[in-house]
Amino acid sequence: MRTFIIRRVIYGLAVVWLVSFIVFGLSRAAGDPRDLYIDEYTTTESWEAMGREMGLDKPLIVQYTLWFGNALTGDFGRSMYHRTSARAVIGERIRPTLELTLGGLFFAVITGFPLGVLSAVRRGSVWDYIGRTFALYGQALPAFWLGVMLILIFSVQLKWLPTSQRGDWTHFILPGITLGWGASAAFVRLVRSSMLEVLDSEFVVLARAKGVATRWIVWKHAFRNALIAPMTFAGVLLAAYLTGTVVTETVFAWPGLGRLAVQSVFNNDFPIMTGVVMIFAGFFVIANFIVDLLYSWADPRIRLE
Amino acid sequence: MKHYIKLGLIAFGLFAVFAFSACSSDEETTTTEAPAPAAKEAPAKEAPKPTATSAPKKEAPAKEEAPAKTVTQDVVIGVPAICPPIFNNRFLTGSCFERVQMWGFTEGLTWMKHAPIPVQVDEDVPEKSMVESWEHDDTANTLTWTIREGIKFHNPDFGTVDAEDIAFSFNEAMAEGSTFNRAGQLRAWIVSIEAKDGKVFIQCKDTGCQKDWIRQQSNYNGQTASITSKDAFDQLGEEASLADLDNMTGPFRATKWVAGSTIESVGVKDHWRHPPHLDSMTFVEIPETSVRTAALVNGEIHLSDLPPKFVAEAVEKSGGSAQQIGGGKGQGWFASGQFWAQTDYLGAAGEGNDPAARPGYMHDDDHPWIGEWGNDESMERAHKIRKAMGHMVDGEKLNNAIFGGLGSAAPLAYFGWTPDMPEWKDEWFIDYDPDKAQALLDEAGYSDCFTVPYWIPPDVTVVIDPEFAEAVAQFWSDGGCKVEIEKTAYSARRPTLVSRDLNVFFAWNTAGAASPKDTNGVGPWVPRAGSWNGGFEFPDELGKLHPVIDAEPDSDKRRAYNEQVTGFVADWHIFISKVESTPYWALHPTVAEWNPYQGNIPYFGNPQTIKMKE
Repeated sequence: MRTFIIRRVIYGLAVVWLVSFIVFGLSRAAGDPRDLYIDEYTTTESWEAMGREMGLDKPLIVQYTLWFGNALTGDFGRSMYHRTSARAVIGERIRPTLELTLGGLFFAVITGFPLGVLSAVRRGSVWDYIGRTFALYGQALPAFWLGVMLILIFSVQLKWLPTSQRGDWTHFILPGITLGWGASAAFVRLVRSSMLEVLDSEFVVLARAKGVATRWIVWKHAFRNALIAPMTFAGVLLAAYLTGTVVTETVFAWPGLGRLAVQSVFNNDFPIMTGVVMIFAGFFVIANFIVDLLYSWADPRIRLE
Repeated sequence: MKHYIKLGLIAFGLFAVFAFSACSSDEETTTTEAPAPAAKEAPAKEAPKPTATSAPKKEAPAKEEAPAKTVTQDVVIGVPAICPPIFNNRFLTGSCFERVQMWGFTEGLTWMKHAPIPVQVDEDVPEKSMVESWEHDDTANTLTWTIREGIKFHNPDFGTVDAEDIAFSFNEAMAEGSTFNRAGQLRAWIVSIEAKDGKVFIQCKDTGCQKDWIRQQSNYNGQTASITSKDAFDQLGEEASLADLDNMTGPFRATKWVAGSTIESVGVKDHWRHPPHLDSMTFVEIPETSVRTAALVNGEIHLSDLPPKFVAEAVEKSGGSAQQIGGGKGQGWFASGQFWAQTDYLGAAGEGNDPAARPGYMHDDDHPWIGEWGNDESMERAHKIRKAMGHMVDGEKLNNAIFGGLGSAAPLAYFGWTPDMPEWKDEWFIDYDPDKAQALLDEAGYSDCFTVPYWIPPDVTVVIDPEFAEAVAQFWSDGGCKVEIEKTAYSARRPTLVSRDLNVFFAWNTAGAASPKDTNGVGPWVPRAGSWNGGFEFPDELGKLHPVIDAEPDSDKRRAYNEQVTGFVADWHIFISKVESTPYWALHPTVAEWNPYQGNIPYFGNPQTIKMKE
């Protein structure tokens, strides 16, 4: 186990390092950052002074080393658009993104798992059809459309919930559903197919023959064994939510990392852009690491070594 | 059984984390928050919310610190974007700067009288302004400003506005590397600004002092230098002072400012110029138009800028009203890259820089819309291409589809000339005629059209509607062209407008029909080296007219000069307008009164005049 963890940590660091290399390379390939500051009055002296301030007067490898060293301490430089440290701007957006991610994941789990199990256990029943229909629509509906529809129904028509913005718990419901809807549908499909496979296995037949209660069979024996695929998906989903909730954030005016990343691209704001990408890489590595560890909990037959 | 417990614990844990995050969200870290007790005139930091006229539900519920008021005037304004808090002219970015000032937080040097549409401003008679009086010495070529006394910064530590603050604010705006939008305009006539004996002295360039500086430095354009405190800069340093929320003098004092999210502010009840009716004003960023509309219908926000077709819907469903702001704007595009100046005629290239450097001037086969000045064949070919691009686009259809039919597809040439004006020339108008477009392309040798690089700034929606610009691209695609859209933020791309790099099709606007035609310093409409331009420069003989127009006191002559220079753009179809859009804001029925300033750019303004129903 220890070897596994050490190996995964090394892999994770290697991924982060590789990402940093690519991000830095692309940011430099996009042009000289000083271009954003020049005007007719920029002299050669001030151009060079700017270069010294930004460390551009050094060889690329030295520039990279300095940048990566700073990035490791969370210092991504000063945002050209916000005129403050990129770390402060990014830090401000992490919490809203985490909240939205948890909201979406919560909805996806509490709806997708039970419906998936129900659909498998009551195969061919009305519940199964409901589950499969939900899965079909869930994966087909684009988030931007769903979000606007939910706003129209629950905010404008029924006036039950606010349309957008962060706020008290009521503000989480519509963005959470919008974000979690597609994943919920995916969970239904994954849990259903995994459960069907397990429920057909010999040890379940044996348990039934021994007179074990159905509820006990489903939740103790089958469900836990069916968790591997959904769990893998949940890990990837968690990372994806943390890095890719642009649409939901935009529709619900949620000040998260996804929108910040897109805005930084529009603004050619390299410090923010590189900082956000590095954080996204970190999220992915950590999420996958946690999923790997959870495998052994869910299925002791999996030996991580 | 223990598995049920485990599952239950996991679900509960997840819920608890989520609930904790959700319930504690109003303690978020903010970009900038005002220090506790700053201006004595400011009411409680957290403005009370629920009243007969307030927003139904906001982020922070009313807490125990809410003062015991019976009726408060609170407004929530929905906008597509909230820029970072930057209160130093040197660092303001193109798409943001006007928001700082026109939204009631900072102020410029002069304040022009409110004028109804169509906009006509008496340029010599500002309303109560920071500059109380002025002297112009023709012999010494200087301008002297006497500053009104007693104008307080929100932070008492920064004292009152004095000559040092004015000189500092303008010098920051003109400093090397400044991203202030009108830095080039200031540099075009100012040699130096300094504070001396309690007054501000401006040494003008040999071409003379700008004649309509009063208008240019006013709310008319929303493009004036904001006056901030030199003491703040000296006491706090550059980085802290530029984000200090009390480094301002406007009728509203921001208490919380989170870029991309929200601005909370309170009314300054003893403001020197115009105390606001409102107790609090909150801006919230809602990027999606349909969601802003829904929020207004729901009463979550009270005012919002919406595209015309959404305004009608919002007004109908909420029972509110629509408010026009400013005159119309011609929506269209520049065929950029026509850098036809032969010399650095305004001396604006800067010492040590090559005045002939025009990196965007590429009159080659890959840029068939760019003509080479002096080469008749090249000029004619490029002109045909530019006209062909105009003939491909159906203004009527765009007006109906994008602007809900509330704009106008009637002929409008650069600078807002229309057929009812004596200066009008019929050939300025390019109608929708795909056959003519194809014929012109054939004649120019580009029957299959060409690759059209097209820059659409997505972040200056009050100036150019991105949806309109994208629809134009579709027309060009339908005409056989391969359109490559670039959507870089205006602020990020702006340096290329100054450095004469721009050589793409550039979605932008021109003045509407109601804009004054006899203005001094036609400013943005006359591009020149050392300043903003839409990717073109006049040949020397015309470009040299700029300071002449700036200094011309006679209104009729100014109009004639303006026709000469802006008519040149229309003659060559460097800019083509397809729809004159009319900017509206939607108002919730709880808004009793708002008297927005009708400037030449439809920015939100005059929030101190907003009154809510009680």
